[in-house]
Amino acid sequence: MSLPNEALREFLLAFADDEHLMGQQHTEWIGVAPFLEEDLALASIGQDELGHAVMLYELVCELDGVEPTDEAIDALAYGRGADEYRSCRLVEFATVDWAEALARHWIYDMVEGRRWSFLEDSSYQPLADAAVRASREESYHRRHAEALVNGLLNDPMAQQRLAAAFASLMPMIGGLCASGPWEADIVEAGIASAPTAAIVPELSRFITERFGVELPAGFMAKPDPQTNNDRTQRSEDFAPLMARMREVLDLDLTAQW
Amino acid sequence: MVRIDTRGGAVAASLEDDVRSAVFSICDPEYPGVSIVDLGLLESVEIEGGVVEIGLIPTFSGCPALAMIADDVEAAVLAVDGVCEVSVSWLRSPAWSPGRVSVRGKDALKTEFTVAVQIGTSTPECPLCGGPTVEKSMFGPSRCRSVHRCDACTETIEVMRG
Repeated sequence: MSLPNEALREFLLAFADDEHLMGQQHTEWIGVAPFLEEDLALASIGQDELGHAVMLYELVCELDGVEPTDEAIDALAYGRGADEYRSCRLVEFATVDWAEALARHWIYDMVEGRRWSFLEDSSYQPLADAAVRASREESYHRRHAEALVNGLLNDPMAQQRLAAAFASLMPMIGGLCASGPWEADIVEAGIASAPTAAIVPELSRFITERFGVELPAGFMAKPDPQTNNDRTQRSEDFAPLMARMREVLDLDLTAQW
Repeated sequence: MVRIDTRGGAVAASLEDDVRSAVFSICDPEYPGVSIVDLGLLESVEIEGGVVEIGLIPTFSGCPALAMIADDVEAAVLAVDGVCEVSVSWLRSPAWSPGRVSVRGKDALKTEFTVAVQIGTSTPECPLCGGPTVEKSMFGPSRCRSVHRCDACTETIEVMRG
């Protein structure tokens, strides 16, 4: 396999950073979600996404030749410069609108489930092992998002709000469905069985059928600073999100955790 | 995957028993009194001389109790006579599933915690009356538990799931 380490590292970081920030976004709804079951669901789903991020950061540590201790994983999760993250716009996006949070949950978990499934037969065994574990957990996430959305679609006002939420998130889907500039090489090396973009036709059809919203033409075009499809730019929402995550850490940088 | 130091013969076999007993003595922090071995977390014990390697698998990847459980296992095994070095690691595979919970583990969860165990998509039995239960919420008070309701006795119960 002549794949450069950098390619694998960038590919892993794209997924790890998405999982990490999505997990954080879910946890921020705990206690303020519309009803108790949602508080519980988002606590569990967020916990899973953070667990997936840890599995992926461990693999990045190994590539870097660093023992994957808690400190090393924290350094990757919280200690990099903004330009070293590879998250997509969708997971950075700040919203206090429940419809947008739910639409993002639905979109993210539909794509995430497929991303893991593309890795289950990976030629990179530690990644294949992680994918088998993550896929088991993901089925609950998709089932939860589907059940909630299905219930809401029966109500005209909820349906309108969901459609508006999907419309506002559409420009960010391209970035979620592109895992960096090395994807063709990753697929070629058998690390993934398909590029993330392989899900786009199905996702696009689902969204149009269910929510009556069309994806904008050319939304997968890259590089595009608006969509951040190459994952090199951080959006304006990234810095405040990272500041919230680091809030306790920054109180005392020398503290032992 | 068990490798016994054949040079030690019977001595090594009894050391392995002692090591396994030490691991068995560690309980899940969420279910005091229920051994992590009965919950299916122990995957491998390897003994080479006095050096022991324990391989565990997590119930799910984001479990916050992993470090605590590993520390407990390490301390318990290190206290076994004849053990001079212990390493405990969380293995990447196989993936845990509720099918790994032993019969004794299921009984303890049922009688001590009124928690049922769901294997695959089967219908869990009510721990109180044995009736069929219906899922009310996929997510419960902790990550590995959903909330069901018993059709027969109408009791709300927790179900350990994958």
